Amino acid sequence: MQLIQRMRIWKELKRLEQRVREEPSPTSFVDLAQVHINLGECDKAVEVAEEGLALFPQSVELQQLRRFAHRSLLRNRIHELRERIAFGPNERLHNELAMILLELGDFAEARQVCEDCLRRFPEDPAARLALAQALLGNYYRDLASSEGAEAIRCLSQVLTREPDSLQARRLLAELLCRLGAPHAARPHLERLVDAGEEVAELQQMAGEADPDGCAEDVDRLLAAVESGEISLQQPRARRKPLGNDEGLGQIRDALARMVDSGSVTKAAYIRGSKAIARGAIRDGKDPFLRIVRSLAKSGQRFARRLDIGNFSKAVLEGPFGTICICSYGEVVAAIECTLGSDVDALLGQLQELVASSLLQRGGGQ
Amino acid sequence: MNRMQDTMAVLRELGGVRGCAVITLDGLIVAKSLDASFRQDAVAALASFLMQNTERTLHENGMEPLTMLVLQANYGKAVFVRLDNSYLVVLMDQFTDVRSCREDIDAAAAHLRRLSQIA
Repeated sequence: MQLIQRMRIWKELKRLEQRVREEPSPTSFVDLAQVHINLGECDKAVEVAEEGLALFPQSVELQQLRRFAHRSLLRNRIHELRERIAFGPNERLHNELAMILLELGDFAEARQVCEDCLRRFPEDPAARLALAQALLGNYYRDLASSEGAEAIRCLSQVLTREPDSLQARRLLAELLCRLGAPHAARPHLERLVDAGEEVAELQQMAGEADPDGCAEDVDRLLAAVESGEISLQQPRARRKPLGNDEGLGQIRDALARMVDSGSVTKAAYIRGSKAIARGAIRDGKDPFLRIVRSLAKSGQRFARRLDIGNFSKAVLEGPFGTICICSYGEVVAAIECTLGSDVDALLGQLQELVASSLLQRGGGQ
Repeated sequence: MNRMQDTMAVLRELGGVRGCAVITLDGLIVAKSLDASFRQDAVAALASFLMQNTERTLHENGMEPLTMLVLQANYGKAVFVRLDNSYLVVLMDQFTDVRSCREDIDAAAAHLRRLSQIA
């Protein structure tokens, strides 16, 4: 990098740092962290994002930025670890690499690293446990019975070698409970209780799965899950909140009310790649949805780069009519109406819809 | 001072208007009157990016070009009005009511269209 370019970046960094101190807002922290990311200083970007989250804990953008910077940091570490392993392999490096890959959700790669480690160091207990975690990750993602059986076999091997491994015991008990095999899970749950572990949730799942206490065949259950005959139980923490369906119903009703008002021809509520639509919308590839997505994205980029904060609303007029958009974070609500409609009132309704949906989620800034 | 520049000066006198410019679709500034807080190259590049992107999406989806776009953010608003081969861009603070300026902006856009036809 040339000296002049370096000086420009340094000056920009100083300006952003000053802005963060003088006018702290999620946007100012995001801008500063973004510059650090562009400079390849992911550790500093994580620090800035964490400072920002301490002040604005609900900021979706800061959370996403911290996740992105953290993952970039992990990817850099993977590169470093691979080089060191190639130079002089040892258990510690293999295990650190496997744990990072597991954190990034790259289970296939983690499995390969663990198998490689076990070939070199067959007695390493941490590699065997990491291998079981990789197999479990694969199983929970694909629900292939062979991978489930392999994960159970691997966890049992860990427990045979290390009966005191509470982590392996918990993973095995959870898998058995989720499969609906409480009999097989019971000895593990008892050992966990004896060790003073918190297993109320697993015990509840075991109770829900087996009200009459009958015996079960784990292989048959794995096959039944794979074929879709039965589904895996979700731990309570990962279950959808009860109000979720009700919330979606309210969004649908609000969109339908807008369409019924007469002047609105199309209405949509978009979150990420999902959309709820009402009115004359054919499918997910409808031009209206494409334009709304595109404009919300480019509008956000325009506003942020021009330093006028976060994009919130847009009104697009043309021979086709008027498109009104209200956006907050990843949530976008939009309508298409005829020219001459009361745009302010419609934007107000869209804003209310976006705000109430975020309140139900407990999100937003 | 040319007539386009005069129109820019008239628009700048409206309450809450922090800047205005006529920008071609490929980002060239034809006339401008911007507040010192805006960098003219940034305004031109960003306006061009936004309009090109929106026009392309409309075209790809078989829709006619837009006539007006109003964009609102936390600390400002931007209005884009289509001229013949360019756009009038008006930047405002967040408190300005776009409806109250609409007539003046439409009049300025009509005047700019006439000027570009004469040119």
